[in-house]
Amino acid sequence: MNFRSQLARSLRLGLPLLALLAACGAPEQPQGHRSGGITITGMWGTPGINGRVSAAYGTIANHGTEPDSLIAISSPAAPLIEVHQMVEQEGMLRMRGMKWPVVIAPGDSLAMAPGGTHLMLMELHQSLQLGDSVTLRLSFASAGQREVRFQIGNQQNKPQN
Amino acid sequence: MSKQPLQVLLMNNGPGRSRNVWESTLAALLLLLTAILFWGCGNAVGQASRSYQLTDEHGRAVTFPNDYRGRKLVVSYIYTHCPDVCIVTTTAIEKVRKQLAGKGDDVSFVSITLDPRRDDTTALRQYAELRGIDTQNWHFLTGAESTVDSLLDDMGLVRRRSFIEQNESGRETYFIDHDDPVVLWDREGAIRDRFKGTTLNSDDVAQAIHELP
Ligand SMILES: [Cu+2]
Repeated sequence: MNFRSQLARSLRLGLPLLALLAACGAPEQPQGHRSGGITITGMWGTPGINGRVSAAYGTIANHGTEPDSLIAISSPAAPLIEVHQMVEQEGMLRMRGMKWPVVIAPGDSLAMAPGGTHLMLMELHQSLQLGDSVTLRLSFASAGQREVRFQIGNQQNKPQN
Repeated sequence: MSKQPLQVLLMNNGPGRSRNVWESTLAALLLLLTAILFWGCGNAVGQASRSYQLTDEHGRAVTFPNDYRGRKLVVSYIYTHCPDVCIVTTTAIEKVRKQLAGKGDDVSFVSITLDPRRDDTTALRQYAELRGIDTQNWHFLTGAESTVDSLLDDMGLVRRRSFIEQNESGRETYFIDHDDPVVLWDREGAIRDRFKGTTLNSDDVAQAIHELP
């Protein structure tokens, strides 16, 4: 499986959809409500070596009454970010990329924690050290763009935003 | 693993299989023999049959496992492109190490790379430094690909490269699906216990280390 082509395909499919949703959704709902459905909490990330990887964890919750979809994630820290899940198969732990868009049902959340689901930052532009800050821009079909800033930490010592 | 013959034997004696007296006697004798073998090994579950020339995170030559004889050893397997599982394991081991503080002078920790192709000395040193790991008694080992691969094979490490891609500059990107054992070795170099890195309970491991002969 090729993650990059999958991402490109998702973007090709997702962006027009986003435009469509924004176009028909905007006049009806006030700005505050429309983006009020999604909350991103408890984000933190692991240290990573320049050119290699880092994982980010936290919870993306949909408090709205309609499903919302995470369409893409970008960051100045890494050119490629995906949502991965760890699965155990044939006696091995494997990473599996979640397909874009990642749909979050109303009242549901995407909970990311070590050993489960993570945001994978790949090909890091520079090493991420303990205490460094990372900014992510998450694009949702309904909630629009959200920016989160979080710290690099250790598992035992998760810094809060 | 030396446990296998026992399992095979038990499976051959499953229900529905017609047996005669001789077969039963033979099975009993083999079981007895296996038991004696286990007894003789003093509960060891394995042993490295040879030694491997490796390099630690500072580029120092290490003969594994010989250089650690006389010390209790906690062996884990990681690679620096591993974003999640290896870090869970590494963090859990760090917790064990802190728990042993003061009582762990005779314990060494070793993390062997699953990815000798990309994990050179520098990458492993950065991996440790970024996590604030004191490498005084925790070594991150790599070596020639063929050496590390045969070590991993000998240790029964199940692993497989996945998501292999070439990027624009022709550099290969991949991850490694792998097993996550944390293995305890005694001072004689016998393998005594095996834990799962991602679900490691630091109390259990600290206790097991304490009880190692
Ligand atoms: Cu991942």
